[in-house]
Amino acid sequence: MRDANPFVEWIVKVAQPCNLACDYCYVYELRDRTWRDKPSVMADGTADQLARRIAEHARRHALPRVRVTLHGGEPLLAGLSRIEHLLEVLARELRGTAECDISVQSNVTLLNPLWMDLFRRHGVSVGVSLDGSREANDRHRRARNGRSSYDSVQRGLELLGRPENKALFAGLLCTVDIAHPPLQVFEALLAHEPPAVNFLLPHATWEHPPPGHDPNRTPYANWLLTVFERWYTAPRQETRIRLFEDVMDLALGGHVRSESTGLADTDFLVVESDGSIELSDSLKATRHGGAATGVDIFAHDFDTVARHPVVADARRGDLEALADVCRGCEVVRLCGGGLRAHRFSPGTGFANPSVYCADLRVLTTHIRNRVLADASALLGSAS
Amino acid sequence: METSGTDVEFDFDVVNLSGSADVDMDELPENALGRSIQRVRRDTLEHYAGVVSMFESAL
Repeated sequence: MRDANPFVEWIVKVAQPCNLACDYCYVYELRDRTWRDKPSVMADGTADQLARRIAEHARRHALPRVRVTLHGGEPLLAGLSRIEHLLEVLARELRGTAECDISVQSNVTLLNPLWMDLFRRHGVSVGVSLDGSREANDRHRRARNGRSSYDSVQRGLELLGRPENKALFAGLLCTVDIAHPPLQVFEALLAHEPPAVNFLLPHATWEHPPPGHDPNRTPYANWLLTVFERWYTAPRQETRIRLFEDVMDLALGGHVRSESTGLADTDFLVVESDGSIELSDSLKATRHGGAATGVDIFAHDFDTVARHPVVADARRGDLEALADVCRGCEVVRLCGGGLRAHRFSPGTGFANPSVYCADLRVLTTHIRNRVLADASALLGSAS
Repeated sequence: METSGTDVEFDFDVVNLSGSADVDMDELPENALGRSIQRVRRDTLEHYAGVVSMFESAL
């Protein structure tokens, strides 16, 4: 049995609830209901134990740097004082051991100057979830009463865009909806001058395929490639797009840290508001309890967690972890078999290609061929 | 730029820059391809790990 790599990133569920009710949300709207049994916010004692565990892990593995992402639900619902406590205890426990990069992934509808003061003091970067224009955003990202979230998000983005805050703006996270024109969506995102954008495929499985699923037409690949060509051919890169950059870097022989592309082992864990440790959230899209492990930060250190069979199996990114048909595929080193959750089928578990397999094949093949030809021409012409 | 086209290694149908010699970073275009080449070269030479989330639902 090979030794597991240490964890370097923790996704911390500081708040379970959300003030929006996005219809594609894997926490509330798909197969999982475990949120019902968890505290709505992370208690200070749980935050203390988490910080101790992270520092313990960093010391054992001599990690120079770790990463913490505050997540939810909507993490700002945890409240200012609770988040401030977590940031302070992380700083205290990790002082002299490891640097800690901290970010928050938020809908920013609750963002205000007090939050930004706190984030500036602790260097917390802010990633914003937004699906494009008002029309695109409001199709899925509405409040529980059906009201649009767009204006509230705009206010949050304006605050984040002020000169004193701009350095903390990490970028925009957009879930693809093929019903909306890709270039309109991309231009709407670009209008906010994000340093980075990422496009997420809607969570889906073979049991519950994505909207418009059609392996013969590959609508998701077509949508993404329209954006790719617009972005790739710009003479000066306007923003970073994580999905495209990862595939390009892999095609050039690089290594990427990603759970949705490439063949790297997963190096993060999710810590829920009660201190229980879970696998990647997206597995909640597969079945009730799909991300659960049965271990927690009070009874288990992270080395013990790494040896837990459920965790060890789920974090494997190598070829042996994939379906037979994937192992021999010419683009498997790029797509990595897709996100683990998207491979799920009730009868065969995860030993399947992704439900997005046809789309991923078209997407990665196009990007690889483009990069291969252009890099060869560029490097050759420059010799 | 000293890197020649022959330095580009083909491995599993990908262009592999890890074996290429000195790429002059300053001469690369500021487009997506130039940035990608810069990242891969930097990662290979400096073992740099970018400060990004591996978790898909965060930046």
